[in-house]
Amino acid sequence: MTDEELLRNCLLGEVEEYHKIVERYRTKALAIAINLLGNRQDAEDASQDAFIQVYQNLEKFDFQQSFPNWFYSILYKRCLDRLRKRKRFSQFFQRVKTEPSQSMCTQPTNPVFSLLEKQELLSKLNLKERISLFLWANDGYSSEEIGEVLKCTASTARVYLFKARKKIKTFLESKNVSL
Amino acid sequence: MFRCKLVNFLISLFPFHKWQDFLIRTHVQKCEICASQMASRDEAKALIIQEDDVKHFRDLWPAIRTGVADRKPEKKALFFLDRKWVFATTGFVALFLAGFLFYSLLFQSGTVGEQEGKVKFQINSIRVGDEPATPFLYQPKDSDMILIWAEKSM
Repeated sequence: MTDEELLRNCLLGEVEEYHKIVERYRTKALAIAINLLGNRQDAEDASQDAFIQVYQNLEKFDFQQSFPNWFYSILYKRCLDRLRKRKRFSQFFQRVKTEPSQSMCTQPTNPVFSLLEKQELLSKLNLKERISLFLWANDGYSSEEIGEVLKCTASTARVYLFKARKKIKTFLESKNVSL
Repeated sequence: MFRCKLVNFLISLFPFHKWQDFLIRTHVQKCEICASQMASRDEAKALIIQEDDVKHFRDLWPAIRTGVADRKPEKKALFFLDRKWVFATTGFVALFLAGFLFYSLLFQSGTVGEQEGKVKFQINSIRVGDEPATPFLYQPKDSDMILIWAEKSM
């Protein structure tokens, strides 16, 4: 079943159909959230909030548009909320920063880069650069599509992507790594 | 090479997205040297946390299921609680009160004067045929006419 069919069933009150949508986008949402937040607990909470918000606002969804783009834009906003909350708890934030390996608890797929190196890189990119890079590298998003997610113009999205790619290259060169 | 350096300098010089995008589209995207200075998709993939890394994260569905059941969609606030309606109503009431006050001061002043006159109107003493008398005042309802009746005191 396509996303559209599942979502239309959800609109008819079939909550269990939404489970399929959640399963379909769960890992993608978590991956985006952890790249943005750098913290497992926050990534899980932000993803969960985003899924709930999507369900509650399904009536507002324009079926002419792409569901993933709409979902990612909501997820991005929920991640921003998490970051704002985290800033309020500055002591907690300090602890997360100083104990990154405990907060992530993930095993890197690529042995070339340790988790700390990935985190080091992520800290160099701002949120918009991170999500632009993720969508471009993993899903082949164009600047227009990234702009749709970030609610900005394609020009602005292109600039975010350019800066992100440039920073990564500089990082790789500083580590003397070529892939 | 010089041109690439110049373009990169110009990109960093003016932090306006339109301007930066113009330079990216007209030079960076077409230049092999500039392309080599940016990370490729594979390089980017290697440095970002992938879906495989988060597969073992907790199952979100139970919490989502509960959240979806517990939290109903946000209902639209009643229209009269809407901020713009509150402002409009407050403005209307303030205008009405100001208008009423203005009208009262401007056009009702005669009445006030009349009322003051009424207050001042009094009979200190009345005599009938050089003998003290008792006055009786009669004013018909909704009329400015005052009838004075004097009766000799017994």
